[in-house]
Amino acid sequence: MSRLRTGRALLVLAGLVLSPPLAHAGDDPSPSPSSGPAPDAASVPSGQAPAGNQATPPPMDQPASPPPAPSPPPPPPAPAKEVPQPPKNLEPIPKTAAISVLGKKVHGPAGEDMGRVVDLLLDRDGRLQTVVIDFGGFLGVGSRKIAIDWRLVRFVPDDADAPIALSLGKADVQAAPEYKDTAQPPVMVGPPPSGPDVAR
Amino acid sequence: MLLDRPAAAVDRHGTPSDPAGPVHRSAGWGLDALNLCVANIQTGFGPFIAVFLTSQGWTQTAIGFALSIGTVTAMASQVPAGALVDAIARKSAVALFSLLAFTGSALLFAIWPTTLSIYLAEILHGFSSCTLGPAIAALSLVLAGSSSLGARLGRNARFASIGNGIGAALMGACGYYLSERSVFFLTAALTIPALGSLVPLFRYEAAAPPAKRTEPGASVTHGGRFAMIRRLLLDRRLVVFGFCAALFTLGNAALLPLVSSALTKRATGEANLLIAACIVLPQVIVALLSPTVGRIADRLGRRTVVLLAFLSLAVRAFLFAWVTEPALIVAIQAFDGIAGACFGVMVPLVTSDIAGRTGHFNLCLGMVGFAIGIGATISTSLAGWTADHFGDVATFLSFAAVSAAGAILVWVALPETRPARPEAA
Repeated sequence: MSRLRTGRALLVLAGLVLSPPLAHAGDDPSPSPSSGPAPDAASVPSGQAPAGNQATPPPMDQPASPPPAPSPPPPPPAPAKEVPQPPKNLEPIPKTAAISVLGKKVHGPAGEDMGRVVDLLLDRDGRLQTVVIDFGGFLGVGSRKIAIDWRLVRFVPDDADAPIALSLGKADVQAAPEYKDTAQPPVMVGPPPSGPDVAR
Repeated sequence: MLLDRPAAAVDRHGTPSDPAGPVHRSAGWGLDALNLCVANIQTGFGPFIAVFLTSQGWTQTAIGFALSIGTVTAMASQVPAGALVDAIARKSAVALFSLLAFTGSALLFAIWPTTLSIYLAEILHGFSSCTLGPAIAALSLVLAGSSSLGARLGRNARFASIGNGIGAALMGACGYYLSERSVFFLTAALTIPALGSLVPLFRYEAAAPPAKRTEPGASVTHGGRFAMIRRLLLDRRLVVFGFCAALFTLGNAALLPLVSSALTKRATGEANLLIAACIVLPQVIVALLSPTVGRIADRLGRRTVVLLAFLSLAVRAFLFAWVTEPALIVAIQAFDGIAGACFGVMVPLVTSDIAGRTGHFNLCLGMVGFAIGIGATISTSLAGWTADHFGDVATFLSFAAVSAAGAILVWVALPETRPARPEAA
């Protein structure tokens, strides 16, 4: 989680540092950055730049000469606008309505340890199709990723540490091939073909 | 052995310190304990990091990136770290700082597993591994003198493998019964006894300060020195041995992960326990064999031992290709113990033979370490690729072929490096 946040913060920072004009384009509605003849824009005095926008390097803001500046926009609220504003339409996520699964433990039907969730695969309609678990091993040696059909997953929303349980046990998946997205084609463990050997 | 040691001791330390005196003896124990603790600590930094980061909700891509930061750091620092250790007279101080870096790294993992701090921890650990290994080897050389270095390194390997075994047991239990995170707290805690083991080594180095090096090149100008370093690094023996080290690691590194994952597919009962056995059994064998290996190397020569390492590696890979019975697979791991004992002792020993008293032992060790790093990197990707395209059997066979090639290289190109008995000084 916090990784993501840090990552995003870094991205934003990088954005601010590397390309100030673009970063501004986001929160400053009026000027249309790239539409003008950019090359000679550099030579144009930047009288037109919105007053409050000192930090913005002038060039990209305005097309070279003609249309008398699209009327000074309502001067955007002073210097703080360097910081991207959070979207207006924020909705709360009720604590019980959304459950994080990546990295969480997975249990089998008898409560046995089946590893951890490392990935979720969606089908083309955005529905969950497959869960990939990191299964087995000792201190990280000999563990491998196994893909399992989402239909075999029981959802246990009340268990925050292991919100996902499988209706398959160790014996059912241990012989499964490793899931690799490089394999042609990758395979997952499906529901038992109502056949003999997967009884347990 | 005892007969040549006093001479060496006088040469190396400038002080005719009694090699059997109490300071020397407790320094020996300190070095034993240091090897044990360091191996113990390193267990936590192994493949377990991937498990831990997974439990922290990291994606596999992010984990791969973090781990490769560690690998790249370690690769890049091998040679500079070796040179650094050469330049610092007090090897126990190097060990001290490396251990503190381990502590810091483990604590970063345990307390603050965010992206940046994990990267930092990986870098810290990658670099300090590169200084700690040479520091231990250098301390061994100081303590034992070059004539009985083989025996000392055998002892090092024995204690290191005991440490590995204990570490695997402790951390396995910790991860299973407590949490992934507790493993890193344990790792950090284990640096405390390691620091304690440095105390007698500090005392020893204080009592017998490493005197001016007595090699002929000591007083030459910078130009002469660089020429000497160049001559040393291009020494045919070092280059060939570097190739051997790379080939050995190439043939070795991916075998255990490969066979363990095969094991989890076939085992009927507790696959985890079988994997634990696959890890611990070789350590037991290393602990039993290493001192013998050290003596064999001193008596029969290094070539024999390096050859033995490659042969047992080849046999192991070859057997893995055909054997599917889990109990037998664990038994085959005994060959890993033999190869590990031979190779583990030979890397610092042969390097010390070659570097002699030039004062660039650790630089040379860094070069060999770099070769080992390359071998390990290729090994894993090669194993993944061949297993994908040609299946497990072909993979094991190609690994057997790599080690056979290594054996041939040793036979054809690796000269004996054991110094002539009455040291040519």
